[in-house]
Amino acid sequence: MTTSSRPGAGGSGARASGGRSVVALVARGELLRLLRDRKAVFFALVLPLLLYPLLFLGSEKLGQASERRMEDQSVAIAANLEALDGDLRQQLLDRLPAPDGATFSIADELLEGLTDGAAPEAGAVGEDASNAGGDDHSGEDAQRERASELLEELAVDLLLVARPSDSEGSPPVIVAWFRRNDESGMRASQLIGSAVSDLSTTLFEARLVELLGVDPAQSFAATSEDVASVADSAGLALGKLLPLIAVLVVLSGGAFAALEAFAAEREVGTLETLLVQPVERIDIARGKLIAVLATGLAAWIGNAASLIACAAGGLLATIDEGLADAPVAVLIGRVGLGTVIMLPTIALIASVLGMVSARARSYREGQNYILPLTLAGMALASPAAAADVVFDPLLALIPVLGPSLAMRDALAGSLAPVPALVALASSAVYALLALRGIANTLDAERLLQGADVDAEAGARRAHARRAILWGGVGVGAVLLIGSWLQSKDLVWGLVATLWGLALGIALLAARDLGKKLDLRPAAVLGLTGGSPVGVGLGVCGALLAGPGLGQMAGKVLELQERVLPMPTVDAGAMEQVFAALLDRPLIVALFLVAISPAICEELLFRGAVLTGLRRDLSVGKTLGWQALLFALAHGSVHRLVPTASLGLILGLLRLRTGSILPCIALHASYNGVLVAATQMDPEGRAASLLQHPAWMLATIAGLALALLPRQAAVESTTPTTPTKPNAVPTADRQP
Amino acid sequence: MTSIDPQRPAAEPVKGESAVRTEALTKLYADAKRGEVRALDGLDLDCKYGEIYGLLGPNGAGKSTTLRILATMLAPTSGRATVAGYDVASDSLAVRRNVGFLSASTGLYPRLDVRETLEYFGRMHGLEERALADRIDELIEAFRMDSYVTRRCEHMSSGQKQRVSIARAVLHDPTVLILDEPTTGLDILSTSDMIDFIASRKDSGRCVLFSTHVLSEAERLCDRIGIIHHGRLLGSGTLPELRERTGAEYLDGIFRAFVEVDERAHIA
Repeated sequence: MTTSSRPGAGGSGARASGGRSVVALVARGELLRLLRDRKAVFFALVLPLLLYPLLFLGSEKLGQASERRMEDQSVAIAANLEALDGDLRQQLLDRLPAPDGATFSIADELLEGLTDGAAPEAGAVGEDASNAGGDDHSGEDAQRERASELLEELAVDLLLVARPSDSEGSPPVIVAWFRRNDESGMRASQLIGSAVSDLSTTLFEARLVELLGVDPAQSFAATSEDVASVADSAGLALGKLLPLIAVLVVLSGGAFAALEAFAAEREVGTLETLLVQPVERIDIARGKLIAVLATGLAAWIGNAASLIACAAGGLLATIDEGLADAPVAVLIGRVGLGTVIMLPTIALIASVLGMVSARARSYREGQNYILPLTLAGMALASPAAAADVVFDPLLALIPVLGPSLAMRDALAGSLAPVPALVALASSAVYALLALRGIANTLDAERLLQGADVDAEAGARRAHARRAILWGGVGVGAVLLIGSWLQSKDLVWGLVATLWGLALGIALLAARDLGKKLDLRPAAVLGLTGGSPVGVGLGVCGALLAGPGLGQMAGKVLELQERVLPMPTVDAGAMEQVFAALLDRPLIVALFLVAISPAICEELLFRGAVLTGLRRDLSVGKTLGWQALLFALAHGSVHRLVPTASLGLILGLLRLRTGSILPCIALHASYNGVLVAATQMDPEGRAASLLQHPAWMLATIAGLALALLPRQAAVESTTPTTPTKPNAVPTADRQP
Repeated sequence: MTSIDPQRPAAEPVKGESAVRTEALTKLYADAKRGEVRALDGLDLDCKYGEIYGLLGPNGAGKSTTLRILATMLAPTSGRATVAGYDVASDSLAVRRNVGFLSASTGLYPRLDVRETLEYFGRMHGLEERALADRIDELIEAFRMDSYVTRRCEHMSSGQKQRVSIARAVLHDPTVLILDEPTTGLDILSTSDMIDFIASRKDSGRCVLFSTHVLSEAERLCDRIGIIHHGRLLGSGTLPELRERTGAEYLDGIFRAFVEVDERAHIA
């Protein structure tokens, strides 16, 4: 007899027949079916394997083809250099590029009509025979015509003629006749031009040495020597490419498995069959996830192996010459270390792919979701390609980016252990959170109901729309009335904005939404939710994580500056505002910058708005909407990313702890660091302490402490499992 | 933490006892334009072992919603439902072990063959390997699938696929079989096969609950018929009982009579 039958709740390690685990059964089934899909196998597994050989062989072939083309473009030059003295003529002939495909012939015909002294300018080399203009230069015109005729007659691209010096002391003139509108003629003139220029430089330098005994320009010589090992240089070159390629290969390989395992099930109609089997849905989801993970990992391992094989075969010399000589064992070691660092990220990518694919109604719809995901992955991994993005513990915390930078440095043999640990630990936490998220992916109600659920969702969104409306009212009031108030008097305006507008709207929204949701206003605001232990842990974790996250936001802004630099006027204005607020007694500054926003903004966005949204929307949409509103309320495009990210973390905190108190704690400590940094630490000692890896680990620990134990959810009417009752604790119900 | 015992379901069917029972089963949906929609509105059903029960109603009457709730795919908004003695809300795994479910939209994995398909789902049901192999052989013979047993589902005809789907649904020998419009989209021969199959289940004392809007199927197969409209059970009984209540001879007349009464009540 079973003890619990809540699909999707717990139940890991459930056994099917013969002691087999359901997870393994599902994973094996998924992989078997995927391996029988030739298209998926080709794109997910074979293509990553062939990528490098194709790319490098292709580029080699391309190089060869272009060389052949150059040969085909050989130019024909007819020359008469009789007028030059023997030594000079030989030096010029030595420089003429016969081996590069120029055919060179001596033609006596050139002496007729082209060697007269009516040259355009002494010393000039090029003369365009196609340009038959001019009025009283009849001699010149005659020469042009003659040159044009000779080009035809001799079937050459260029005529090279040396005219004898017409007076004592003046040098002989070398004239090249060609047609500008003929590609070969242009090429021939360039060849001649560079030969003549090289010759004249050599003659000039030789003359200087002859006169002065030494070239005055060469008072000293400088040279540099690279002492990095061959492996390190090769790793550096690979490090710029591989993290991005790894993320893309895992994304594309995993996408095939994810679409097959989640989206295609719905399209083919097997999901229904699967969901009436007597196994926990979480186990089915986990089995599918393992298949996605295995495929993504296999795609990457195949790709990496093919890269190493190409390196061993000397095909990679086009990327970096060192790659041709790098020892294969070292490359295997470094790519292996990079892969280990990437493992949690690969798990994270697999989970996200699974969650996204499960939301698609069809394979095609799923494919549409994969594209933005790929772009996001690229955006996060690409800073690793820039050598000047330093891998520090703050960046290490950012999902995908941190591990990408770690992989880059691991390949170059310069991996700093502490940021690497931070990247590993944080990405493991993200992967763990995503793995927990996979539990709800096979939420039958949403997946099976199809059109009915669409209609249902439409009406359900009535609560969410109301919550968004209240959020919008809050944003509008803060931006319009609030900034007007603050322009009148910064401090009192800010107090009025937060304690008057934001809090007032939060309370009104709580009252209004409470009526609709059948909850007391305090419950809507999140003041009564969560268990004391859970809320306590949440508050402690939040206080621990806040300062580090604050520092991280600074880092994100720095990175963002590269792409979207803040206009100096805005930056200056913002600095003035901050300076004016922070330049107060400590307690006042803390009240204005840390405590007031923490209480008032949290009650509005994470309190009333989030509760209303969550009643109708999925976790993802709830988090997204409230984070967006929260970010908009800050009224700055440049601060959108950090504030929205903070909003997401705060929202998650509210959803997981069920209480607003940890959010207030996190928000206050996040902002509080700014006050503390300015007032108590003008030299920035504490700030550097906050960037210390140990503090980063503390930040991760704080987040884990606050987020991982799930104590109480914010109630949703979207049933995530068929058996979930829509119960609200009776104490919270309106009397 | 749950585990599934690799055993046969404990509950043995006793003919005449309730196999499926719902009390005031309600399922609410909301619609942006229409407001709150009651897909099910206090539905009371009682189907017994050894009985074929037909749920008859037009599109959107709530047939599929009812059957999906009974198969534990959807959660009821309120009310209670038990299948094979287990509550669908609190004992869904036990319900799923005792239910075979098949609908017109049920699909098969295109790249698995007959045996692989049956093995996959058999293992999910916790069947022992030896017993599973024997059972699969038995089903291949019973459903005459020998000639295409190694063929992948993607290369089968719709009739062949239908047989594999039925075999999959009865693989674990469920005491209750729930079929949601099982003949929709089938050709004449496959429909006839399906009807024979449904009739055959009755002899073994199992309960078959199926939905249809094809009146002739219901007339031919059902011991009892439930007429469902606007999410409510308007009437239920054997065909003679229903004739007596409405005074109509054929099922279409009976159905119309119930619906007219209901619509009058709605207007009033």
